Amino acid sequence: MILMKKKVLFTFFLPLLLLSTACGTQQRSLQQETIAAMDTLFSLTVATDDTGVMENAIATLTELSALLDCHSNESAVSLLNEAHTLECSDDTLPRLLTETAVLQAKFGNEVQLTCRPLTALWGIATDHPYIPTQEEILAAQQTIDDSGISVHQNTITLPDDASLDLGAVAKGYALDRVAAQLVQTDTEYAVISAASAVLLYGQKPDDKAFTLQITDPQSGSALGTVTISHTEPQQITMVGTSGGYARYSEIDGTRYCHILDLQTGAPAISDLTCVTVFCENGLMADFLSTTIFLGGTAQLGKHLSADDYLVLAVDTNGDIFSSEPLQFSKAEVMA
Amino acid sequence: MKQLPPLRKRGDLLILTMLLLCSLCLMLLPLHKQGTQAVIAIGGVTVGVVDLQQEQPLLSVTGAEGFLFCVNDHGISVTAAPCPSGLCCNSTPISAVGQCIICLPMQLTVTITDGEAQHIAPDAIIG
Repeated sequence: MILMKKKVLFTFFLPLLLLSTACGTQQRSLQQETIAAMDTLFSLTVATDDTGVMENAIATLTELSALLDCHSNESAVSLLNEAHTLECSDDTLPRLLTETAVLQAKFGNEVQLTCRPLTALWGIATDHPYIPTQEEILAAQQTIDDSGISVHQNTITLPDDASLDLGAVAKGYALDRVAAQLVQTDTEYAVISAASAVLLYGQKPDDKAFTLQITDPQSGSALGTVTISHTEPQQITMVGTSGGYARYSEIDGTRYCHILDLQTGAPAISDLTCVTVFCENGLMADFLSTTIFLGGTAQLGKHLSADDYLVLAVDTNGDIFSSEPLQFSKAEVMA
Repeated sequence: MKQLPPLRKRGDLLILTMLLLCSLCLMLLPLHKQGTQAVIAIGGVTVGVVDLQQEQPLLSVTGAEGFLFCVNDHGISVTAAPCPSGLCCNSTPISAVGQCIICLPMQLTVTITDGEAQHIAPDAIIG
């Protein structure tokens, strides 16, 4: 009797087990698309057999681009900036504001979303950059105060004269929304990159690690490569980078970077040229990369030893600082 | 001293013939293993991996702007380069594992691999 049971076990269950193992390792088809959104190019690579995954990701990014762009008169942010109160149709914008407020409470107010009067004044990286007077800067600075933003359910209210510029966090937040969609699907892995923000999702075939090339802020070529291994099927790594080398304006021979120091009201002067943050949340990666860039090397130490995010930073001397667990290999420069 | 027995048995002759045939086969085998991929790197960092099985008469690679490559007959050559000398354009197509085309001014390397190389193109470029 026992022998028969064993026979049945081997005859029926062993092939089933082998079949399920084979199904588990089956590779999904690779879909690739590139779209223009949020003033940049998004490159999407998704390994899935469901064509709807790519369509939904593109739809989300396009929708968020239209919603969060303060340069577009028809966006929700522009409507809010104009009317100072807005009842949103969903929680997309309210959530972005509340999540940013949580980060500000934890990491400080160097990044504030009510900076639109100052960014508009300088016009860095636009067709009309301008060096404002000290009086103009002071007037703009007085309107910057994120603590005055009120979010009640889906209704947002801004203080008088305040207006939002979400450029510091919009791309990371958009990637968060896409990642939330991906976990609902059978996507094996995905890589979505938007110049300064990258989403790495899932596990590559044969558990291969993701490789992310970091751009050298001085030469524009490769600084090196970070290897990121995912141990869970739906693991997420968000990467955000900030620096003054990619977006800037030159006025009378002086280069002004697009990141503004809200304390001085002027383009930031940092002894860091590039900061890249790795964590599980895109908004946090975006927010922290700018915060750490503004803090410079003086504040860098505490970030390098943080538990919930990893940092790779380059200073003006070209020295590279990296959180210990980060697997970074510097590019070899040929003679 | 004990003397070795002479080759008398048919089995001994058979083994000897087989050994000779094996040696001949090894000599006739190509010394270079045909590659399946070309790894293109700038400044030591891989920017692209090209499949040599697919003919591509005019190939440009993101990250190696200004260069044009030609994949033909399981080999690859550089057909255009952004540097003034353009010496790498004169090199013959390469196809065997380990062969390399180098452009020093632009720090470009094209290396033939068997597809099992550690160098892979990055999944994304940030910055």
